[in-house]
Amino acid sequence: MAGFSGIADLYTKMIDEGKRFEFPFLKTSTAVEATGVPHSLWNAATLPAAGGAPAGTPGAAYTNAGISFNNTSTLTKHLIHMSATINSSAGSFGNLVLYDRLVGVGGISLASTGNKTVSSAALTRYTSGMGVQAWLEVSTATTVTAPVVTMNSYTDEDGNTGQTGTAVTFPAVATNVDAMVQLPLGTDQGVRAVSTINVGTAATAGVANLVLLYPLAWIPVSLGNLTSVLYVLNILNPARIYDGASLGFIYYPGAATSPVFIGNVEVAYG
Amino acid sequence: MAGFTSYDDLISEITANDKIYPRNGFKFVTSPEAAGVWHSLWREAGMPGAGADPATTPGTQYDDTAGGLFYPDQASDIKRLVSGFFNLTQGGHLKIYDRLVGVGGISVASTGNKTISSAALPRYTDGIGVEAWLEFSTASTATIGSITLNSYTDTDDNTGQTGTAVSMPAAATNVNTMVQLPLAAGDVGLKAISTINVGTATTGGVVNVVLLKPLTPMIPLPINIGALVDFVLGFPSEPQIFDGATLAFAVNGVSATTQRLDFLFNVAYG
Repeated sequence: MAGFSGIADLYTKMIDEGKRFEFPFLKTSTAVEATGVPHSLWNAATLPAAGGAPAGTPGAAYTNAGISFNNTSTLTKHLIHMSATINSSAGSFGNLVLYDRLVGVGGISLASTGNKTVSSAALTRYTSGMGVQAWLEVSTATTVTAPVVTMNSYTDEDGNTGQTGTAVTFPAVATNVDAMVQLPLGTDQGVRAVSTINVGTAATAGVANLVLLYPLAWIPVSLGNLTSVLYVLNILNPARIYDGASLGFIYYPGAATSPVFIGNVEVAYG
Repeated sequence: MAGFTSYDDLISEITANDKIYPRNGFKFVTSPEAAGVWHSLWREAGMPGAGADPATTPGTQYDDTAGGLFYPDQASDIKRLVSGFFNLTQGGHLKIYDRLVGVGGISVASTGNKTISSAALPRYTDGIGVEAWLEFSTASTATIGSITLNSYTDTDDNTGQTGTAVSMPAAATNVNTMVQLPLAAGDVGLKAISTINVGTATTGGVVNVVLLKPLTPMIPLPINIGALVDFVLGFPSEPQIFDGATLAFAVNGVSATTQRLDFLFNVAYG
């Protein structure tokens, strides 16, 4: 039987049998847009290396990219522990969100109005779409006008096609590279696929990636140089890490600084 | 036997039997009225998107209703809230509740009794801990209203009970503002509402009357520092999520600044 029968079984598998993986990370954030505006660390140096831009439509599913671990099927991997420190910029704080990056579709222009074909590649994990979020990740900064975008044709977690979310306005006229804008849904709890997004108000320049991702854990990160430690099993969020998982971070800045993060992610399997 | 026999049993059910429903998403908190005033996220965009206003009298019974967070029914297992991560970009307090009944289209722009005749409670049918709230669906523009819950059925099936009057927070009360209706001294909940009385009318306000059951106490959230909540070893201990539950959020902010709620929480069952 996969999984853990309890705390003692977890200890035995991790410590006695060595069934654990640990991935240290070091990420240098690029310039964040503003306090409270989510910021992608996918393309940030150094460990893991910058992830790179996804291909144009239909894009591709991610497998063992970013922070990743060996496949362990038939045993199951679970997030056990995560720690993070802001190793610079006294006064920096906020939250790091660890997520599994599922699908990316690159090169979506925000510089003209109208429907933009996404036709996202099929999910290979969380295939129902329940809990899967849709984001725009800025790859070329916008200029002159803050875009207004609607995810106007997507498939929800029940397989219903042609669903429409509500419009969202970008946080600034000049929205920085790596800023992330989440696409609101209709009365749904996830996204299985995205067919089109509509740019209702265009910028003069600007390009984004459409990213489908699944959040796994949040860790609040304190003022500079204080380590935050998250023991997820203690709070019963032993998020399943599927084979092929491609983990990355979103930074929710509490201040408009661009810190260096160091830490590690540990999973146990059984 | 339903339920969990031990902490180890809970870990086993989650990791070995995959008996966990993770749910994540976000909600905008748009134009809250003021610091210290509750703001409903039911009608706000996000993931899930905005829920619909309830029907007029006798209203809507909420049962796995779109716009809320809901879970598959369990034939024999019991669902319980076990852990969560929450973040508010401007800080405040968060309430998670089960939305039971709503009666829409109640004008508070004229004095006198307003017929509610609320539908029967679909859960918590004894009324214990059930609260009555006003939720503004159309803003008022002038005159601070005064409203009394002047005919309701208490938890002992006493009809025609009367609470005390409550003033609205402002002459111009924003959409989605929530105001709790006080009960009579000694009452610990209610089963139904017959009428509310508008003693002092606003100009232009329309409200939904909502019966709800809070599942958590107010969760304090600093600005952009997420909270990790253990509902098993912390308070309240593993709130039960009944079949048909429609979970929603309310926020009591530290300012009137528009903000955003992000959440990731887990319901386990066994």
